[in-house]
Amino acid sequence: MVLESIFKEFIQVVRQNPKYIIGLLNHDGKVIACSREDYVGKRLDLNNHTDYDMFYELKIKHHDYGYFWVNSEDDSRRMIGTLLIDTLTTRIVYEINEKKLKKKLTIDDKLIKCLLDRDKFDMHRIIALIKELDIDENKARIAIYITHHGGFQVEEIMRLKLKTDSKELIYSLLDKNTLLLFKDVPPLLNDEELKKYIQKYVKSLNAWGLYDCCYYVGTIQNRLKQYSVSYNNCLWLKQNIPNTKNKPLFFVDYRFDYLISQISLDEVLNMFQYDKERSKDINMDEFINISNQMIINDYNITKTAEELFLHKNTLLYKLKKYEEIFNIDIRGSFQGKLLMLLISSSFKEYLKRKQVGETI
Amino acid sequence: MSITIKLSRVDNRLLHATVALNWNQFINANYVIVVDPDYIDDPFIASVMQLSLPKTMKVKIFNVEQALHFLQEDTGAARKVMVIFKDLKTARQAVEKGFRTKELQLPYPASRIVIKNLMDYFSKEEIADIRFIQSNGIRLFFQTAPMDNKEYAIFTKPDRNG
Repeated sequence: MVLESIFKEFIQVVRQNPKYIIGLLNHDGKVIACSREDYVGKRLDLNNHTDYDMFYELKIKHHDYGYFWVNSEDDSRRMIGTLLIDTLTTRIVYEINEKKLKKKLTIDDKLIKCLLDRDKFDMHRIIALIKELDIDENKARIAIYITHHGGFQVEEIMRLKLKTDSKELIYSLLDKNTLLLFKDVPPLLNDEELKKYIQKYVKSLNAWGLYDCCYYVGTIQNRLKQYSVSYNNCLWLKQNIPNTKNKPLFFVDYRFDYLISQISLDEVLNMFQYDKERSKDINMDEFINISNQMIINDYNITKTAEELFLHKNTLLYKLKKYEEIFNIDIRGSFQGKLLMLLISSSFKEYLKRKQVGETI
Repeated sequence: MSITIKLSRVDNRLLHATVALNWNQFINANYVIVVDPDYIDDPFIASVMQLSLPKTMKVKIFNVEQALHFLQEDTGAARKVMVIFKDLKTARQAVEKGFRTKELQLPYPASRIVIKNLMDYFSKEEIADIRFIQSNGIRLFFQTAPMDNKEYAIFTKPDRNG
C-alpha cells in the first residue's frame, strides 16, 4: 500500500527529532503505525486530548485514510504539524499520480507494440487501447525516433506525459537507449512548415531534458496502419544517414536516396559489368564524384565543372567517354541521367563492399 | 556538467503541493532549491520538506550564498533545477549577488482578484525589488499552475505614482 511505505519514510525522519511523535490512526483512533513502537495498537481519544496532540483528517482524492497524529511539547508544534500533514498529503498525491502515469505508459507500450506489428495488425485491440488513453485516433502523427548513447531514465521518460503538449502523444521506450514517439501534428502543413514545427518541438524536448540525443523523423501519417511506415523511415535514416546530436534528421529530405536504395544495385552492377570491365581505365571514384556533382547542380555542365575545378571541355570529354562506355545519353535524355545515377550508386556499393573485404 | 534552471519562482509557501505536484513533475526537474535563510539551520524542516518528493528528487534549503554556490558548482552531473525564493526580497538579494535567469514566476494571488496595478497587490518595498530584478533583464510573470497562461502585462506597466 502506498501510504504504509511513505509513512515509514516519515517515521525515519521524525525519529531524528525526539521532540516529536507521529502516528497513523484508523477511524476508531487506534494507532496502526507510529514513530514510537510502544504506541502501536493503543487507542487515542480524538475528542478528548491534551494541547500537545494534533489530529488531522487524512482524506485524499475521495479516499479516507483515517487520521494523522502529531504529538509534541515544542513551541513550533503547530507549524511543524501543518508542515508534516501538508507534506504527507502532497507525497501521497504524488505517488498516486506516479502510479497513474505508470499505468498510462504501460498502455502506450502495448499500443506501440501493436502498431508496429504489421504481420498481426489487430485494429480492434488498437482502437480499444486508444480509447483507454483517451486520444484521437484520427489525428495525423509522425514518428520521432530518439536515441541516447548513455540511456534514458525510465522515471524521467514517464513524466514526458505531463509535458503540456503531450496530450495526444503516444510513446514508448523500445529499449534503454531508444525512445519512439508518435507526435501529433497540426493538419495541412507543407514540408517546410512541418519541419519548422518538429524543429521547435525537438528544441522543447532538449530544454525539457532530452539533450545529447539523436532525433530521426519519419513521414507524417494519418492512418494507424501506416504508423509503422513512419517508424521504418526513421530506422532507414538511422542506418544510412549520419546524424548530429540534438538536431532532427528528416526522412522527407532523403526520399530520393531512400528510393534509390530500394533498387537492387547488384542488378545494376551486373547489367553494366561487361561495359565496366571493357573499359579498364574507368576511375570509379571519379565517376561517383562527377555523378554526385551533376545531381547537386541539376545537370548543369558549366556549374558542375566549376564545382569540380575542371575546365568545361574536360568535363564534357569525360561525360562523352561515360556515354560511350555505358551506351547511355547522359546529356540528352532523362533516362540517361537516371542510369548514370544508378551506375554511380552501384559503384558506391561495390567499393563499400570491397573495402570491408567482401568477395564480389 | 550541466546546470539548467528549469523554473525560478517566488513563493512564500515554499515547497507546497502546487509546486511539488504540478511544477516539479511538469518541468522535469531533479533538484528543488528552496532559498530561505530562515530554515537553513533547521535540518529537521529540510528533512520534512524532502519527504514531499521521492528521494530521486533532491530538495535543498539554502541561503542566497549557498544557492549561488550550488548553481555554479561543477559536479559533472546533470542538474535540472527548480529554484524557489521565499520572497521578492530574497530573490532581489540573489540577483544582486549574481543570480541570473530569464524569467521569474510568481503565483497569481489566490483570490484571483484582477490586479490592475502593482500597487494593488505589492508593497512599495516589493515593487522596488521587482523593478530592480527587471533592471537586470529578468522578466516577471504571474502563473500558478502549468496550464495557466503566463501574465506579464502587469509587470510591464509603469508605476501609477511614478
